[in-house]
Amino acid sequence: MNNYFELKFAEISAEAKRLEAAAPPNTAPLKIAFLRNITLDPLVPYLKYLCLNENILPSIYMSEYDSAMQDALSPSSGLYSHKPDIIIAALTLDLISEPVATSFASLSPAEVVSEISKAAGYISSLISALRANSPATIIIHSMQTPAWPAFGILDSQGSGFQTAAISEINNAIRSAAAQAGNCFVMNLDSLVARIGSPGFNDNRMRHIAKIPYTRDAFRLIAFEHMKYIRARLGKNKKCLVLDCDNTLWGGIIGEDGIENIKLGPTFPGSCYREFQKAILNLHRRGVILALCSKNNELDATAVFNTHPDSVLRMEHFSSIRINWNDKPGNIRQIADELNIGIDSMVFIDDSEMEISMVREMLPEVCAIRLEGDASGYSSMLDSLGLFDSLSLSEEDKKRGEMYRAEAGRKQLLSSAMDLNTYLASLEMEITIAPSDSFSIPRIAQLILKTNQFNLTTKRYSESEVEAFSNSGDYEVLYLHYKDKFGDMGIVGAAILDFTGPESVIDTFLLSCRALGRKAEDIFLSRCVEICKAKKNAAIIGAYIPTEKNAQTESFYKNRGFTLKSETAGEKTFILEASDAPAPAPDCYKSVITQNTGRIQ
Amino acid sequence: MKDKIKHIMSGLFETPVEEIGDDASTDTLKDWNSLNHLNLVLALEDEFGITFDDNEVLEMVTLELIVLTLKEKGLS
Repeated sequence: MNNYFELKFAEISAEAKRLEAAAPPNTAPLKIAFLRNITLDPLVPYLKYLCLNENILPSIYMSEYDSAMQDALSPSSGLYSHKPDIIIAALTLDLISEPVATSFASLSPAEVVSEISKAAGYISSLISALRANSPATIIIHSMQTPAWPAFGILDSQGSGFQTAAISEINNAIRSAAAQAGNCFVMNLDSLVARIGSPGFNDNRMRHIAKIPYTRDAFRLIAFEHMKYIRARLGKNKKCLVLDCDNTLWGGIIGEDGIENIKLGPTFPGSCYREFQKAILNLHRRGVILALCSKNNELDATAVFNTHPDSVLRMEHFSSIRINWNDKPGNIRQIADELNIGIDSMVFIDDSEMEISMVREMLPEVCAIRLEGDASGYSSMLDSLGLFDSLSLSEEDKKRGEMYRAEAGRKQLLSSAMDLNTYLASLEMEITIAPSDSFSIPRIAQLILKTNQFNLTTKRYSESEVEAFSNSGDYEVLYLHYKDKFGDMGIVGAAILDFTGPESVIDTFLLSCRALGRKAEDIFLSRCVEICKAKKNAAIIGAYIPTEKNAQTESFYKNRGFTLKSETAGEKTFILEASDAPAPAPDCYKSVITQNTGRIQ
Repeated sequence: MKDKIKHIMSGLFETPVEEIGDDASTDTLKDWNSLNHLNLVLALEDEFGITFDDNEVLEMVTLELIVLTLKEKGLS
């Protein structure tokens, strides 16, 4: 489903057949009927593919070529005995008004008026007949505006020309639809705009087989029909859950600080601002917004509260989960808090790992990864069509407020189900080894830069780190991380101090990119191992609080250490020589404990 | 090349690939109707990166003729 726009027709056709054969017996049926004056058969595999991927079993009736009016007027026609839920009228201008379509320049002004009124009359009669004989939802294709209109550059200048005539016919279609009720227009021009007239219209196939559209056009048409179907069945999505870093702004708020994130009038901040505007637009249409980010809550909310270029503000979000827990658990909590179905949620994040985790653990959520240039993000959002609805009420516009007012911030159990299985599937390869001349620069960089997962935030220069490395009384270690998504390089550093009677963990830090995978656990296990091998003494771990490292306050306590003393917020934890350390996590593909050569 | 074509036909028509003989034609395969013929033409154009002209489209109604047409276009 995610690569619908990449698959070839033959692949879509085969997959649709496979899905149809394998559909479980309780799949919701949907009867669709087509009225047409063109060959529509290539549309069918695309529509079936899309329906079956959303657990809808379509049953399609294709009326006779060019018998739309006869079918609509006759209550005993095959069209009505099919008892369709949805009727789609894919009619082109040659049927409704051949002169306007193909010989406009030959018409006198009076003839133009007469043709328009004939066309409007035809459509009204058709829609009235359909409405009288069937309760189905009716979708009518609009008439395409020609890319090269009959009078060329003159055509767009006034109301007597072809473009204006077609526009009037489309207005008549829109009125007839509004009057009939449960009848909607599909604007073909906006589909054509997505790939251009030559990309949409196929003259060769139109002449050979009366198939006026290309495969890509049918692909788009089916995708668009699906938006109407989803809206009609109430299956349009209701809530958009958003990550923050590198999604709503460029950069990482906890590391870069509010002055340095990219959000503003100049590139690339302008891309993120535009993306925020597109998101706000969805909110104004009735979509609920939620935040799910791995951050210190104050860091992230500061952007929405105080950043002058943030279009999104805290009041736009109905639920927020900004913490260091896994996202699937958080998203589940958001759904519970808002009291909406998990399958009505869309989740957007730039991280391949987070998206993959949500897809694995919450397959009903539509998880979308932001890829490529931020300049494409707002169009990507607009093109999804997942939130499209066929009505807009005052209630829709206020929906976000309503959810926010009602929902409390309930404490719910977080979902840790299958977390270990998921982590194991990442095929993580960890190396924890003593520093060497290749790794020292990177270790020093981490020591200077890392703010959040940093127990003591001691800053050492590269030469100081080198001195520690060369001294027999200290051990400097790094952690290197790689998984099936890629190689993150060196993401952790620790300095062990053996100068006193006890072993002291002087420095222990991890880049926030590497959190959520128990890397800090395996790192600590290895440090403890090394300490115990070096001398049979207690191990001390200190927590020195800063504005940014609050998440590490209970780190040692949760791993078998005991609180020994506390002064002015600084905590000292101890693991006695006789205490057993916490067990090391076992979700890794490999854990290597020595240098295996040059590692960046 | 012949096998690839048979494979594509099998996917588009509801026919297992073993039942598509070297003598396959619009007469012998029940699913090789005019609509599926067009699907086949487009699938072949996609697969081999070529375009058939109008005459070729209308004339390539047997597997043999398809192979010949493709060979004439420099494929093997």
